[in-house]
Amino acid sequence: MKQEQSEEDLVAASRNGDRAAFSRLVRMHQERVYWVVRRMVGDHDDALDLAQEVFIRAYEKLDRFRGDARFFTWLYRIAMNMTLNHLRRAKLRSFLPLADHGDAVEEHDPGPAEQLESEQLRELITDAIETLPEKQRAVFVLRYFEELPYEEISTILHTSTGGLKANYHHAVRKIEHHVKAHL
Amino acid sequence: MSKHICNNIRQQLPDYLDGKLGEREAERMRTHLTDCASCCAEAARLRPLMQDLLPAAREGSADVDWGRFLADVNEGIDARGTQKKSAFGVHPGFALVAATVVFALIAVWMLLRPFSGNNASDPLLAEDLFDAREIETLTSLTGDAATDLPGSVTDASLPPSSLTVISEEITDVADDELLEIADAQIVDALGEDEAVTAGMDYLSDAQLLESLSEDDVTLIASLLESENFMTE
Repeated sequence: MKQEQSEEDLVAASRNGDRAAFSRLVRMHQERVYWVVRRMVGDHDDALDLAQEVFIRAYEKLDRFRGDARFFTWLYRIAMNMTLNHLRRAKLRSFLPLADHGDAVEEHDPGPAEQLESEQLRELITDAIETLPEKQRAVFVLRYFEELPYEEISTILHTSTGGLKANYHHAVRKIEHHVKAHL
Repeated sequence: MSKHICNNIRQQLPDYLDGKLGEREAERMRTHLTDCASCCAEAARLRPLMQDLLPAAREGSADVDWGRFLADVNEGIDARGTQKKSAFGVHPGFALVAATVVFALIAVWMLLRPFSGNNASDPLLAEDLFDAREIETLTSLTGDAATDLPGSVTDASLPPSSLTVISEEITDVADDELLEIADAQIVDALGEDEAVTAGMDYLSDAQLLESLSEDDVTLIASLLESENFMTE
């Protein structure tokens, strides 16, 4: 019977072109990658596309993974870079005249009346997160939702832990302000 | 109470309220909050969010077919792999040369092209439209050097009328030269950083953006698709 392969083995095998091994890595991490992206961009379809692209890029760039960080930390880094690029592009597109780019404006859907209160709360929080500057948003998602230690976030975002703590505090304050104003 | 201490304490407040501080740090926090009215007020302000509201947002559910997700990832890898091989299959330097030629052609065309507008009322010099040296720099730099490149065709020092004309120029050439640049094979060989830098320069000015059509922006965005900041 085949022995259970460690993540390290799977990465090594994937690097040698073993697609079955890479598929196992995808299955191991797909949900977490999806959620970190989803919490950054807000939209399900965009998150799905981006999460898939994260794994495609990861496979292409596996040679660059030196193994000095956890594989998942490396995946997070790709996810964050791609997500921040996505947000930047969306922001640039928003400069366009509305008539030329109507689909860039999201319609606010208040949702059905029977919607659960907790769901409304989630929407409010999601809206609040979307108002954060990109960097603060990234720090907030990685710290609050992913519960990563600052040292790991520092590796992902290339920011000092002191700066991250300040960013996290600012993010929380802004979310609090937004929620308070809309409750 | 020292402002420096209060700043440090406040930066740790979200973690404290979320139960993420170690016992020693939590004790230090409790002591400080007992002594400092200002930080205590800040804690009271953030507590409902951290302890009541945010936890509800942690529980998320998404309707995702993970089997389909994996299949799509594999399809993407297959498609990308084929494209990559064909890009470098002819000659490794071919597409880079092609891209440089494209940029040079744009530059020459812009410098030599007679102005259709009224030159008397718009004393714009050809050099203002598109500085060939910029193109040369963009195509020769890579990585951080290109990213940090000071100035660009959308340099703020150019008068607004120049920006308008530049945007018209770019719109005019979008269907030909820019389409070629957007070609995946060329972007591949041009190098992600250079392609992105070129795209970002076009996109970096709001005035310019307003003049571009949606197609042009989509086109430029496709350049940005190859952006990757992994600096392993």
